[in-house]
Amino acid sequence: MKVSIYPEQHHLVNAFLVMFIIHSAQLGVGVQGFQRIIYMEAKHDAWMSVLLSGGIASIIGFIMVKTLQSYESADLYGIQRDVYGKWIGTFLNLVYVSYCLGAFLVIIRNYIEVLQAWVFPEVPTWFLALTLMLLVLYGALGGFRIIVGVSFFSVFLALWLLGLLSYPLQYINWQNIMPMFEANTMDILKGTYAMTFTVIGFELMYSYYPYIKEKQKTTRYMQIGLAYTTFLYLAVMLVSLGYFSGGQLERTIWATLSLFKIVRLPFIERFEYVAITFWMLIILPNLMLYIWSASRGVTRIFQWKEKTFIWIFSIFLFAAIQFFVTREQINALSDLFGKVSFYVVYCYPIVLYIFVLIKKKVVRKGNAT
Amino acid sequence: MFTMLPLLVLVPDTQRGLGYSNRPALSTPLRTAKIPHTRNEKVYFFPPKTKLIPLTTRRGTIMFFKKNEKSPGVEKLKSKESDIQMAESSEEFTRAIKNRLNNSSDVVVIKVRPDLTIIYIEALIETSMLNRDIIGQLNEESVAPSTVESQMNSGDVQQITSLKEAVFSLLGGAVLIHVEGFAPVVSVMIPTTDRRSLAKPENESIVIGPQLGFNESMATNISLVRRYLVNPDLTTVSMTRGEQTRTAISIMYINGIASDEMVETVKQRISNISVDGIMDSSVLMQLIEDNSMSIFPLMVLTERPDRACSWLLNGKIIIIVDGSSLVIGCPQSFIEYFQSMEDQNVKWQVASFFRLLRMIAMLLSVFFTAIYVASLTYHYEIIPQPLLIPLSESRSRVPFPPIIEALLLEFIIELLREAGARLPTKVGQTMGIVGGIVIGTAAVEAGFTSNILIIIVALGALASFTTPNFMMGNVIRILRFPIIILAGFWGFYGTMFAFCFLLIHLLRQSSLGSPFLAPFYPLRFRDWGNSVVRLPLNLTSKRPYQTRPLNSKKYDSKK
Amino acid sequence: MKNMTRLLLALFALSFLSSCADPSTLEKIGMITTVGYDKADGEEIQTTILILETDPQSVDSTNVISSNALTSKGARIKGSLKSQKKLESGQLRVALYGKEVAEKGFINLADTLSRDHAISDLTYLAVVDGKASEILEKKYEQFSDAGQYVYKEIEQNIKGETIPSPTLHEMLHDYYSVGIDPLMPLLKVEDEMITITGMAIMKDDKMVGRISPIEAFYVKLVNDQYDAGNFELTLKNGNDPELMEGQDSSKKIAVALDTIKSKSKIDLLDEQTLEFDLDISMNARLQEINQKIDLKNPKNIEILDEKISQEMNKEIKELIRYGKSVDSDFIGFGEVYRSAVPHSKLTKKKWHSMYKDVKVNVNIDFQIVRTGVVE
Repeated sequence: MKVSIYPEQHHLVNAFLVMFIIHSAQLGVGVQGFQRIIYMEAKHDAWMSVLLSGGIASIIGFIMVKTLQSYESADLYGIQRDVYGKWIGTFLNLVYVSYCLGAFLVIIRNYIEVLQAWVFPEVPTWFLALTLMLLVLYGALGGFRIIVGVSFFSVFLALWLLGLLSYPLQYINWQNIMPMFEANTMDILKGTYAMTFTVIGFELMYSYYPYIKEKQKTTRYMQIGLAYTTFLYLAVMLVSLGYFSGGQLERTIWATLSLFKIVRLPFIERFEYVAITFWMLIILPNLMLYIWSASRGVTRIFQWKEKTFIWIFSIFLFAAIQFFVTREQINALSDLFGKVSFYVVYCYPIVLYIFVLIKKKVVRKGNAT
Repeated sequence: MFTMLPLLVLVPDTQRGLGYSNRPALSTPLRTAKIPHTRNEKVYFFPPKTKLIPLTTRRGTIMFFKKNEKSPGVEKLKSKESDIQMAESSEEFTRAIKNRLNNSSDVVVIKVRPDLTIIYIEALIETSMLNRDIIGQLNEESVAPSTVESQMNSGDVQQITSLKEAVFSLLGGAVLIHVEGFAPVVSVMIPTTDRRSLAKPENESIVIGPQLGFNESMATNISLVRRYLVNPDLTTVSMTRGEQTRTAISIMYINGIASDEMVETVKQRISNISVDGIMDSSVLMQLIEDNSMSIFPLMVLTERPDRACSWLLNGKIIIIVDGSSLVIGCPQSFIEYFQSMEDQNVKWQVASFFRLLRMIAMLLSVFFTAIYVASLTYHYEIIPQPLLIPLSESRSRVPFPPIIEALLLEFIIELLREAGARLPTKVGQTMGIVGGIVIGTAAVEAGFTSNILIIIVALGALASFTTPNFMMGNVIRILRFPIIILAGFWGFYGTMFAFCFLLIHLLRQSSLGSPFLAPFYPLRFRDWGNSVVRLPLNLTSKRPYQTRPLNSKKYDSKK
Repeated sequence: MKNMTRLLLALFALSFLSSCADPSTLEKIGMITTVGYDKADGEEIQTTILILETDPQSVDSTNVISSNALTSKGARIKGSLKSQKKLESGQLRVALYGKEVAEKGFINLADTLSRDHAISDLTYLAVVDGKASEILEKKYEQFSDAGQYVYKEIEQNIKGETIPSPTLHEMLHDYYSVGIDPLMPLLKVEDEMITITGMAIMKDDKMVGRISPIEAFYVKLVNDQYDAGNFELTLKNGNDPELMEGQDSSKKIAVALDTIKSKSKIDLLDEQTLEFDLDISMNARLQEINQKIDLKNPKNIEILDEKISQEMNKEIKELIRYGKSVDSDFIGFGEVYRSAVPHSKLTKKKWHSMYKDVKVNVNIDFQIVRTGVVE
């Protein structure tokens, strides 16, 4: 297996699209109800946790790009192979592949749960999974550029949802977020930890980095994407804190969707029904990117065709979705995944970066002697 | 390099000055490797059986040429004549020709002199020219083909040595003069030139702008384009396709603006098709589109020369097909279907308003009825209180669920439209109005549909007619049906599924390898100025990225 | 690959037939627009639901179903036994609580509304002085749909800024806040009309008292801000003879104000003594005055400003005193305290024990900006 890969020119995407990929991969099911879990830890200072996690994400993002830039055009799979050698490298690659598949599973199952809880309690899980899978397959089989296209439109077409935040703004009571700094540092850190699942998505940079055209500009656009996400989360969090009272927030599972409940236009009201179904477009790039990354991984290891793996994985995942039926099971899955993703996304990149640095040093020394 | 003389004689009017002769009409490396093509063996007319060849362009979209493995039978049949040497005796020659034309009764054979035989097909030539320019010019000295050739003062005179070529020039409107004792015959092209006079474009009529449309003659069409663009770089490449019809096809582009790669792609695609007949450019378009499975047209047709020329100026390629009054333009992006030629001719504010209006109309047309069905079937919660009573009262008498009601009404509208299109213009109009009012009113009175739905469906139908492109308008109308069904089964979820599916589908499409959703994806803000809206001309001085022009500056915006 | 796609498409088509969602077509469902809760025997709750009649030929525009059950949803299930249509609550606009229910605590019945995803957060809650079922079941001469009437009445009064908004969201917001108690409109049938007779004062979720619509104006003045309210108030002329020269100075002056703009601010002065500062600045247009007063004289206007401020000051102090007497902090001093004192660890219970000792200094700055189009 080669460390660096050079995809053909026509598979590459412009660096500035990275901000769309980053943002659309981060925004997903997590944002529908992240207020509650963070509020439980950090109370009305929850917005600080959001800000902090945004900051951490941008640091980690910086480290990731640094790691990737120490090679010419390599992805995580190539780097791990290079750093750890054949066996450990392949093992870690497989771990990363299963992480991606896990993310896919969590996202799709959580979205189906929202659909069933709010809109269609009677439509079976397998059907919703099948239709979503169909869209994911149709997009992902089109290749990376198509996925980026979906990402772009998902960000672009969802911009208007941001404008709907003005409705809850009318009911907002800023007193709710006072007094500031009541939560101690530990609580805020716990809140940040609880937010992991909402923030992840930018780690996919590891797998699509070789596909970026102007690689030296990656950091800039990645940071813009991350900053926009943080801004969005902060805005949603602040509005939620002001709109709901504390006790109310603790009881509201999908606070973001509840915010849409009061939107009332002359021809349509109860906007959450529109928002929930529209969320399909927001999670599609998530799903596509994760399944694509997973199939990239195995393609790199086994040198088979990428598309074959997309098919295999989707059939496998479709079967896996059926095992999660109750809310408890879904929550358990999400919690477990949240923990795993904390280590994979927040801790591992630092470790990898250190290993890469050491490796480079050793190689240089080796060359010198 | 082989020339395709037999093809050229089919289009005598345009033969001069169009740069045919020294341009390789077909330059597929694949074929040149296999088939010898010396001057003596002018046998090659049809592309050999071609396999699907994926062609990768710079942008990376893989395109397939379609349906090329066809009709080997026809080829076998035709190839038998290729090697037949022509007889020196006029008797034999006449017999051979007649045989080949299956003793058709309109083949005329005249013995002008014992040693000179003239053969032509009755309705294909100008009789006055035959008498004046051919029979009148022949004199005693014409004892060999070369002397006959020199006596003719009509332009297109040549000697032909193969029977096949002789037959085809005959079919193209030539008079064959056979001199007893010589194998080569002299062919003189004097085809009839009956064609429709130039008329107003019917389907793309505009208020402000030239009122001139293409007609069915390729020569006229090319001359129209050339008159608009007096430019030596305007290049024409000719080909002939269709095993039975031998339709002449011309590709036109401006050398130095149009992307070479795209020109090559078009040439290759046209030379790779193999069909028995091309009756219209719309058929050719379907054959050379990037994806024949998509419901969306990926290239565009126009009947306006000014439009074709503005495309050429933007770096596009146009394809003119003989016998068709529609010209193909490519590459084309999705948003361009919602632009009218008039947009360039009116003030930019007005044009921008209309463009936005058409986009909204398109969305409305595709999704409005579906949203009605979805909200009434599943999401009654979203109906605001003031609308609740009128909606539920109008629905209360209808015996069908909303999906059946909507499909029924959409079906009636489509019936009216289709009937109107098939009937003569005047009857059609009357029927549309009468049918609309009578059926609409009656349906509500009978309690078949709710009156609110009538408004919605009528609005949707109306909106679909604002799309300037007929083909795209059809697609928009048809798209409504599956979306209504999805909405009727799964409400907003189904509607959103349809939306996402369409989005991904459009993302996957390309036109000549350039992305179909440009300038949205890939994002080119510069091109929004002349696609989503139309900004003042001094702000849109660059050619769109989508055609990958070799020279992107259209004019100096400062002056 | 192609076969695979076809297989998938076939599967998709197949699933069309098998997994169509459960429709609730508009005209086939009974849309509950208003629901009323009353106390029935024992623990049971009598639920009265008002269903929108969609058939234009029907005589009545509504359909009222009443049933008793332990839970409100149970009552709905029982109610559907009496209905020709499937009952759905997605268009619920108003929920009414009978006085007895309100006095026992409304939160369970409000919570069940918020738990149902179909019910809007903008549903209005109101207390009925008497039984909710009476309002809904009664036949009125001037209008046919009591539910619609109540909905529009409350909506109109919120828009006209005469009462604070009582949406489900706001009620739950206040209930789940530590230092504020909810406030709901109080309805009563008077002279064949449904009238808002005031506001019901809650302690947590239990009704403990009531205030008049005039006092409701002051609540909104303190709690919220006015953009274009209107209000009438009576002033005692007292010892200002200049204001009404040559007239009987003992007469009362009634002034009607409109386009009231106001801003209020509550500050905690001392967290030990629980002393609050309440500053209100407001201006309005003098629309009508029932005594002859020379309004051309700027001095008179000043005197009026002063008098109105004093009157309001008095009223607000009275209102706060009343709130303290029934132990209901509907103005929300508790929230001010919570947001001003870090690490207060305030709970509802703790605040109610502290609430009695609250001292409030009221400062009102009132100004008449114009007096109409003639002088």
